[in-house]
Amino acid sequence: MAKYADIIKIDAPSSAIVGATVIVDVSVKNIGTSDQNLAVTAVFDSTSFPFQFDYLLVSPGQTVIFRGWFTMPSKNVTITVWSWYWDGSEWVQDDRYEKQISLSQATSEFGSIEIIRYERR
Amino acid sequence: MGAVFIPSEFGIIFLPLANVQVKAGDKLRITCRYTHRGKAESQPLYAAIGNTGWTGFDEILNASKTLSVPEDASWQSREDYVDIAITSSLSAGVYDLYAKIGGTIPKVISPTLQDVVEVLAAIPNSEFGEISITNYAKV
Repeated sequence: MAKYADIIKIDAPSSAIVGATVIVDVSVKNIGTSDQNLAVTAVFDSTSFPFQFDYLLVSPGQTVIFRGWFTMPSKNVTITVWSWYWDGSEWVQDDRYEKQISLSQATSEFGSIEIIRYERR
Repeated sequence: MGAVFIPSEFGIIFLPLANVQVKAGDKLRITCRYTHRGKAESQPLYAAIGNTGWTGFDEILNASKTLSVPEDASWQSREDYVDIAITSSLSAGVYDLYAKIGGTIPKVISPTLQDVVEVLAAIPNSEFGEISITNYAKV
């Protein structure tokens, strides 16, 4: 249970083709009773990826969206997102969320065809 | 008797194929095995009966149906069939078969199976030619 930076949802595609830019929108709500500096970090598998804002000052009850992105590798990935709040002296990790993104094929192709039976009906 | 030549590590194998006898009014079911990978899509599965010549395949009868393949992350082998209605367009004789996937520009074409369909001559209408008394006896 988050103390301040509650991850409400993650908007990201469930699949992407290799080389595609995957957009990850993380909705974070300040569930505290005072203004808080909130931040988000994330990785796909073990590789970190950037977000549009390093941190945002968020009013109590307000939800903000942190947009991140990465290039889809040639395999399925799991993205892990963490939210953080500033306690006045350091960043404190608060909430955590995971989502699977599977690799989809860019094109469809048929490799071969052969007639294996022919029969009178 | 049709045949197909298959390359192998021992050279070319001559594989004889049985032919199937059909007549007008029958259906010929042609079952194909194909491989697919990638996105899901729908394409026509098409098969034809005709004759292979120096200009290509001269189709006489054909049929098609829509194949719907799911998304395949790697090569997957599948089977499906198409039925060709045999009509009087085919005169008595032996014919070849081939199948393909795709429309005007095929995505993949099968090897042609030669002389595998034998169309039987149409059975003529019923008629009586003559009658004669062959016996007469008290019963």
